Amino acid sequence: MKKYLKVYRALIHLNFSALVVYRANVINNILGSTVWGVFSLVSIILLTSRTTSVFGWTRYEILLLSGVYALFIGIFHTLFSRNFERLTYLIRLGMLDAILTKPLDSQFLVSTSIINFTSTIRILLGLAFTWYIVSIAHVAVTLPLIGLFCIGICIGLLLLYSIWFIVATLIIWYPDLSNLIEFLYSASNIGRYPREMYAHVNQFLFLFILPLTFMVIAPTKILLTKVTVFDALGLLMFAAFFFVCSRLFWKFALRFYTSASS
Amino acid sequence: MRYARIFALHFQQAFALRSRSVVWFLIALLNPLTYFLFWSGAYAGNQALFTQWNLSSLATYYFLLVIAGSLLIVHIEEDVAHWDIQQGGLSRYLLKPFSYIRLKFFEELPWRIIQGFFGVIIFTAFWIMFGSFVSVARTVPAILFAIGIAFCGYIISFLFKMIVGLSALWLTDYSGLQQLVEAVILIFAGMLMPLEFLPNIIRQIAFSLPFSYIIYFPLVAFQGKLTAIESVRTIGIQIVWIVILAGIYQLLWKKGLRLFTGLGQ
Repeated sequence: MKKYLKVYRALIHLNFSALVVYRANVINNILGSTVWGVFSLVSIILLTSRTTSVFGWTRYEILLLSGVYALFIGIFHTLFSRNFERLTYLIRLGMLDAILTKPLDSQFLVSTSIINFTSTIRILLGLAFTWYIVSIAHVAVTLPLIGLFCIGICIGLLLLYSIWFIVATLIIWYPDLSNLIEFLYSASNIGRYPREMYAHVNQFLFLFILPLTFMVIAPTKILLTKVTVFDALGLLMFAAFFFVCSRLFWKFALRFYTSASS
Repeated sequence: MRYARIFALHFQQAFALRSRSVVWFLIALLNPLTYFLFWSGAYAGNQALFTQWNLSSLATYYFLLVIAGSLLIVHIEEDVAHWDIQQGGLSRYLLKPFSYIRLKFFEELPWRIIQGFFGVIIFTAFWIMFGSFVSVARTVPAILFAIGIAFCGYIISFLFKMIVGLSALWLTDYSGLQQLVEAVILIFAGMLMPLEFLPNIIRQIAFSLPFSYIIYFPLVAFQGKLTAIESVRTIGIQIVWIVILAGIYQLLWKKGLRLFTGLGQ
């Protein structure tokens, strides 16, 4: 564990150096992050501008859900999403060998090598918006509640990470489908709407969507003091289940990986 | 004939990579369906707020949006900016006795047709299952006008994305601009919601930009919401946008080409 923390600290240092060196790139990335951060908030303000409640959620509750989602996805994009983009290139170009031959866990290395500091803009936007909604909706937030909320966010991140990792692993068999990562960016948006909304879709489809509805809804409900046992247990069990699946699936998939030199 | 062959070759390539097209199509499918589900909930609670729109026209709008998002939203900008300008691939095109923009047009068209075809399948399935629920234009003139508006919309989309791609001649890394453009299109083209639902000032801005003529107007035309006079007026405005965008493209191409360096190509 100590070795991995040391490696991660080195990775933070390396990524920060890269950030400082390529300044024009940073400005571009900051612009991109700001645009999507603002878009996700503006779009939900526009969507809810004609209504006071949807699927049993008040307008403020939906706005809060969006704020928490912006914060959540900002953390995810900072820590993980670029690594999945890179993973598709590594597999397509047969360059995964360089990672597999290192004396470290390959899942750890492919998931953590890139830290996208520019996405912290989305975290800040999400935090500011969440704080604003909490204050105008007079949500009573206490320190223990914030602690529970943070734990909820961490478990939600583990759940989303595991789902992305399982899907990204499929690229070992289908290297042409590198755009699956683009699909994951869109699919993650499912989490920013009330779960009740998806209850109207086909039951089979709903089963696929269901895990994604826990990752942000449960922490938001913690803030609103409306969290149920179903939300909490659902989040915890899905996160644990998908994480174990992602580990096993990765190890299984590596047996089928063939590189240019293999 | 030369361009027909080029089109056929690129169609073969796009068809060979049809599984990629399926994934792109799924992305185009996901957002409209999510927005429709949201609106169906909002509509159920506040029907009085939705003048001129009911659940049937909303459902039709979003299912047609699945086709329009796949067929009319061109994605040539990455090809132009990244592969041709950043990576230097433009050199190959400059040496060929073909117009660059025409080649790009026929490179992109097969991808749009294949992905649009998936959208048509989804819409047809929706139509078969909920026939009475679908509200589309049913007269021949209205359908012809709608096809004309959609065609002009595609040309606007193509020219605009070519301009975005050419911006890489000055910016090199155009990704920030690309993401800004994507978000602006989502709001102002009517991909988030029908433009009538937007607050007044944003709606006015949307109508004065070219994006609503790529998605929103083709959609409402196919829904039969435009009269003949409104359709003619829409096509007129689309032609004006095509002329403006073609002029900007020509200007950028002439000025920008001097800045291009295709090292190692």
